[in-house]
Amino acid sequence: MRAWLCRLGSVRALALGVVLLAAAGGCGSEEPAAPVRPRVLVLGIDGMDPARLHELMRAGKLPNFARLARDGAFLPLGTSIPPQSPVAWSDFSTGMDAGGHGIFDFLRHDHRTLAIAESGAEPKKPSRLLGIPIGGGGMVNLRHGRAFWEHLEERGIPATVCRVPANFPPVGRQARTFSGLGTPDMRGTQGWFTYYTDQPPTDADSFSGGAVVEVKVRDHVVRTELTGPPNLFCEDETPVRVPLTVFLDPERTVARIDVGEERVLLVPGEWSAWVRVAFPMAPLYAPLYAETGIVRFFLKSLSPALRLYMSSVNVDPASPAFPISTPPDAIREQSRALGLFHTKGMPVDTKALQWEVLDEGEFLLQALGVLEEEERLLEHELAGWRRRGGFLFFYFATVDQVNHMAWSAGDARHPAHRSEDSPALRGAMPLLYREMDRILGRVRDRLDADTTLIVMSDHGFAPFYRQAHVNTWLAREGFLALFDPGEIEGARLQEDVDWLRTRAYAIGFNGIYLNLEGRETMGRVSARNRESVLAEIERKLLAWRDPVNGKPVVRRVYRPGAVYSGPLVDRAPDLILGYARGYRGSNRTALGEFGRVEIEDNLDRWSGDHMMAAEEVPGILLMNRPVKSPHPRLVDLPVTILELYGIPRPPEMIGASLIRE
Amino acid sequence: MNRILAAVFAAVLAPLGAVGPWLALGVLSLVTAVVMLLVFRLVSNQAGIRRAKARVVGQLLAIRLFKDDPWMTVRGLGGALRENLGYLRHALFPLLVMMVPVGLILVHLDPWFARTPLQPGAVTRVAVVVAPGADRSLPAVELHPSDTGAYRVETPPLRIPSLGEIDWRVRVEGAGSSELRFSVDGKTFAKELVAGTGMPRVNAVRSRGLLGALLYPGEPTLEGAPAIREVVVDYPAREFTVLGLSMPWWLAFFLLTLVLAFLLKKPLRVEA
Repeated sequence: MRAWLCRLGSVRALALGVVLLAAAGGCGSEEPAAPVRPRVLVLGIDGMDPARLHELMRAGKLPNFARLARDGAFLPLGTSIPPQSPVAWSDFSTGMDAGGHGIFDFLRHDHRTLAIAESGAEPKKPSRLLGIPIGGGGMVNLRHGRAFWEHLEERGIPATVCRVPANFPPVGRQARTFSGLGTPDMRGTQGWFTYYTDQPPTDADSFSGGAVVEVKVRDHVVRTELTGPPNLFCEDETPVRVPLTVFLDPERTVARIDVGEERVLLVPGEWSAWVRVAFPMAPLYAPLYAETGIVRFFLKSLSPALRLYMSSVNVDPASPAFPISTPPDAIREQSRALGLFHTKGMPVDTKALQWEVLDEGEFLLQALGVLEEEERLLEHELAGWRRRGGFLFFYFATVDQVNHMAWSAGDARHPAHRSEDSPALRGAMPLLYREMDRILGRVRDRLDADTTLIVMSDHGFAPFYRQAHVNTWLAREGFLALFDPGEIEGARLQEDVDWLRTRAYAIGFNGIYLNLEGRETMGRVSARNRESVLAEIERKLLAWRDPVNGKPVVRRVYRPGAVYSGPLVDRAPDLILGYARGYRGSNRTALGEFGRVEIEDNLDRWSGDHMMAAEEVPGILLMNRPVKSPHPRLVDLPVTILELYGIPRPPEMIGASLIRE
Repeated sequence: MNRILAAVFAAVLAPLGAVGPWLALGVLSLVTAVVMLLVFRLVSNQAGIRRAKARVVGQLLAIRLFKDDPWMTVRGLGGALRENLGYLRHALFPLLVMMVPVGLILVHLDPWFARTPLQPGAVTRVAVVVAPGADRSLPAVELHPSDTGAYRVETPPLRIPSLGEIDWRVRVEGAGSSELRFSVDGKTFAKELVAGTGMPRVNAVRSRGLLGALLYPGEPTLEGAPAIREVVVDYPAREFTVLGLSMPWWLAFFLLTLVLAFLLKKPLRVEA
């Protein structure tokens, strides 16, 4: 009997174990007993322009922005130098300028090789044993300095920072942070669409930011491949490809897309929901290790041609292949609550519109879909924030990305303006501003009186009428020499420049560099001559006139020593170009290439921009309490946020509080 | 027999589902482990297994005792291998006997654990697969709109002659169980569509014939539409996660049952 009782005891223990094990799946995270106060909410709207905002507010189109301005303050917000999103948002995150955080441009380059890379993060190759990756790989965030939320978490203040740009891989320990602009897709790019068609466009070879895949329809079936991330098990990192099959109804009214276990039915003109794709990587037994990504399809047409668009392969938020949140499980928790959503830093596919793979209406529909996802994410985070209290930042990417592409549709003076542009794209910006107003209204309705609300943007917007080929200008002015001046169009710094006769070159969107002795491989400007060459370039830049209309091309030339402070000033370009309104450095200049002439019309769909003089494109600042400074700047915001929690300004931050006289 | 089993599982799992899939699976694993151990004890040669295990231990002891004698070590290894095979021979018959009830259990648990119901507002693929002997030019199957507004057919039929299949995209409008109604050549047939939350029985396939009845016991077999082999509805897979590792329900079930059986064999005096 006793033995049986003992056995019964162990059976009970066992049953308890089963119950505990079974219950383990449902354990939730801990929440503080009471919300931490004060509550501070910052809505960051990339690219929202103060002039346009003011105009629409005056027209009564934005009642919630107008109410917020009336209750507190609405001011232009001084942006970064140069006004590029990674620079500006790094200013915001760290309270330092580029001399402190080290992000000077979208791009960075190696002074020795002139190799160009993205400025925000650097990939590290994994160490290998017998070709198998055993660790050490990943991405390194190149932004220096401490983000303001690290100061908050240090003092135990709950902080959630959603998708702030230039925060990839995200930093933070206790703070919940999600990476934004700068987060690549699974292929490691900032955007790479795929266009499957049996009638490829004639200019398909020139596409950038995407690829055309020519397919054959046989017996109403297309068998092709979907290209995914590089396979880390291959030393050359060959991309993983998975089969993709499209079944077409014989009458071409509907199609089914099969990829992995997923079956997606679409009729022409429809977007799919996000579709999960598994990319097997392990060499011997594929299912052993697979990374998953997510894509969306848009079936443009089935007849007379099959035209199927596929988005970039975004990182799967339910099972991220690399860190896109802190703590790493935070993004999974978002996905458990909301399903699948975009994770790539630049979610709207501007390249697909540029190459006319998507038309204006389709592009706008995609952008509105992104905004809808952003709103769902915000709603989810607001609910958690109301329980936890503390700080919440939420970022919107859509206004900026659509503004870049829609400017020419609403500006008859723009060289890229087309009379046949769809009315939808002409009205895109007012529509998006109204959408942001609606979202602001919904947010404000749920805030209590003690909550500080800040709505801000990193920069404004301006037309991008004319593009400057700065290397061509430098060559014309005698600062740069080509081996063959007759072959200037398409020439490249790496191959076509006679460095022994070159004193300066341009690379990146706003930077000019000297060919400096000891820094560049064949440096020709000595430290003694440095200042005189810089002065000469600066004088000539300010005198540079557009030969077509006589207008100045450059409004300001910034010297790093004058506009930056911090330990990394010596990494800055030697001169920073502040273009006049309507002008911007060409994409060719950014990549170290040359144009045929110094200035030419910008005929691209990418027709609005902000990479000009900082004075031309301030951001916005709205706050539900008075702002004490008449000229607030981005770097003032982190100081202000910390002050709201009683944290004194850290010594490395250069801004000032906006709520103190 | 199959219908009775389906009713029994429904009677057990319908209330058990309310406590969540993990707990339900845990309880079922416990019951299965106990039943399988008792069956094993009943149909196996317990004395033979005990002897075989003792001989294996004996051979291992010989290896340990005569570790300085290479010949004895090799003999011990060979003996251990031989006795192990003897042990496996004793275990083979009961394992074969248990395969039948385990197979039945798996088939009947699958609709409860393998898939989650569709969420209201979700879209899914509904496929009608033509019978192998039928005309592959595909009959004119029609999926009728819901009378009750339970679902909406969003696409025209997609005919795939190479697969002998006709597909539709259907959007679920409300929670609960409803019927997708089809007609072909003047004959009608239906397939259950399950939406909502919790852990209801979710039958992905309605099929025909003996095999169909065996593999998909949740719904009656298709009758009256000989051209149709089966009707399939895509449901989301239910995943079970342990320490961040996702696995299908059957793997979680096997692991739990094995662990529990291992722990319970001594209290239940089963030599295995």
